[in-house]
Amino acid sequence: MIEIKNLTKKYGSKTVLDNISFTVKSGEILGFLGPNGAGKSTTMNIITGYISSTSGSVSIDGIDIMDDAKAYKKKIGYLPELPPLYLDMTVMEYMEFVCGIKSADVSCIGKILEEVKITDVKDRLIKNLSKGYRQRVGIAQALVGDPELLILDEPTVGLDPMQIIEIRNVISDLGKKKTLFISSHILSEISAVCDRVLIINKGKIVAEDTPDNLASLVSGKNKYLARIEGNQEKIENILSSLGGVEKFELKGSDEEGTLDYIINAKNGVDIRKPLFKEVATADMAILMFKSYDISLEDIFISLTGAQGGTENESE
Amino acid sequence: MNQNKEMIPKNSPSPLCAIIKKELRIYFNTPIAWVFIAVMFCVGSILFTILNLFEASSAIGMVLLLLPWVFVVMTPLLTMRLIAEERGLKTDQLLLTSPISVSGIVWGKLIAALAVFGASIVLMLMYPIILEFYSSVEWGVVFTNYLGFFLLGSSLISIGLFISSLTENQFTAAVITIAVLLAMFLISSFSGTTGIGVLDFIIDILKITRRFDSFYTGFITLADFLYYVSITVVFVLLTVYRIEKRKIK
Repeated sequence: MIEIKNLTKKYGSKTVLDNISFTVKSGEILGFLGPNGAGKSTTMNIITGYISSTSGSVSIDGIDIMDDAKAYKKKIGYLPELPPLYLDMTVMEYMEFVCGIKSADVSCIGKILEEVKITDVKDRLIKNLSKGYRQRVGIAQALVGDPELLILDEPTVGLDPMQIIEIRNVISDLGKKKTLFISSHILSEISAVCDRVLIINKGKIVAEDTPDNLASLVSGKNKYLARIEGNQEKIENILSSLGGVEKFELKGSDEEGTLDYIINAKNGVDIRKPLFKEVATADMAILMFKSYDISLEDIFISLTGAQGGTENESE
Repeated sequence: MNQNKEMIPKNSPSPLCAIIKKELRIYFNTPIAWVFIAVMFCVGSILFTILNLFEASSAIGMVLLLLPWVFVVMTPLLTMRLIAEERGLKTDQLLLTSPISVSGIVWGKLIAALAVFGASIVLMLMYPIILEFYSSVEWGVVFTNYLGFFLLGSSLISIGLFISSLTENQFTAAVITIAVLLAMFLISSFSGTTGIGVLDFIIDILKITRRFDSFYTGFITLADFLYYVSITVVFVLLTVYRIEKRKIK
């Protein structure tokens, strides 16, 4: 659906986007992940035609923005990071205005308001609405003209947990009908709704895959977390003597008298049974044993090297 | 173009109308339009009382000759937020990513500002009507006076519109507009020549209120008419250029 080729954007001598290429397939929900300042909004602003690129091309269904800007823009509904709202208008006045500039029939407004659940506030001034409602008006605006593609820039930023859940529901409903391209710096957001994830850092795409595949990319699948009761020396002796263990690492101790280990097993070897037997023979006990799930957070940090930075700004 | 016209559903206002309607809504939902019309009308009425009623004169042009000085302060009231506010509030992201052209947006905004200005002129048509009770009014001259006044106003508004596109801050836009208009008005009252051809030519172009003189005396000269229309068009085009250019920056 969208095809981005060798996109570069420079502000003066500063390169914000460095030769990025990717595609968004029709019907998919693509997540766009990266720390603040990585180039997410710049990319989205270029795709939507708000700013132009220094070089490279963007096309939607084969239409390049340079060739037919009107037809191109009609295919996109865009919710920028800050919803573009006129605070001195009522929701209804605002929606009529958006229909006007997008040449869409005003009769579609009722259905859209219904869809994002803001019918009850349609006659209120936008400046009197809560942040969650304003965000939904922003989504409603993007739906005008029934575009095939929705581009949502950080749709849940600045909302409280209840509002986040509501917006997420709205988004996953929309995902059933439309192609979605969503950016976020909150990883759980992306893994909750997206089919595929694109990770961007410092203007470059550093990874592109499904959330599951990305997890195995970094970790390998055979990683376990074990909580073992007993003496450190003894435990480590058992772990080093066990053939299937590639390496292990003491993670710390959460419970008195126990130690937590992260154990990497060799590919294709199931270490669970021998480990259990050995520990039991040594008169110790495994109190917990589970696969050590790599969260998108870990992938993100290991790929971008952006420790900390993103944490304080997430909800 | 034809193709696009066909694509617009019957139930939808045209994009240009949508912009005009939205701007008028903001003008009248906030005190801006009311303050503008009220000040213009008050100052106009005071001038009318002093110059026409007290002096028993039927030459309405005098009022319109002095009134433009109020424009120095009132133009920015209409124009300062037109582009600057859209940028500041990021609502330009909606406008510029919609299938409407930049020139459509800018013309829509200019027309809305001219409509508010026009409303104040319509109110001021009351003056010649009052005079008609006391003496006979030369309606041809009155029409020419008001036409000139409108054209002068629209060129000043388009200058303000352009200045609004230079900054994100409305108040910066307002201050620059006042400074520029004041400079143009002062240059207009400068009657000498410098003797340097190019400089005199430039000064002549900047003398924006001088062109009103012919309208004041009741004549429409093509040159002066075209002068005001071109100033308006040129500054609209500069505004469009400025917005397009910012996309690339």
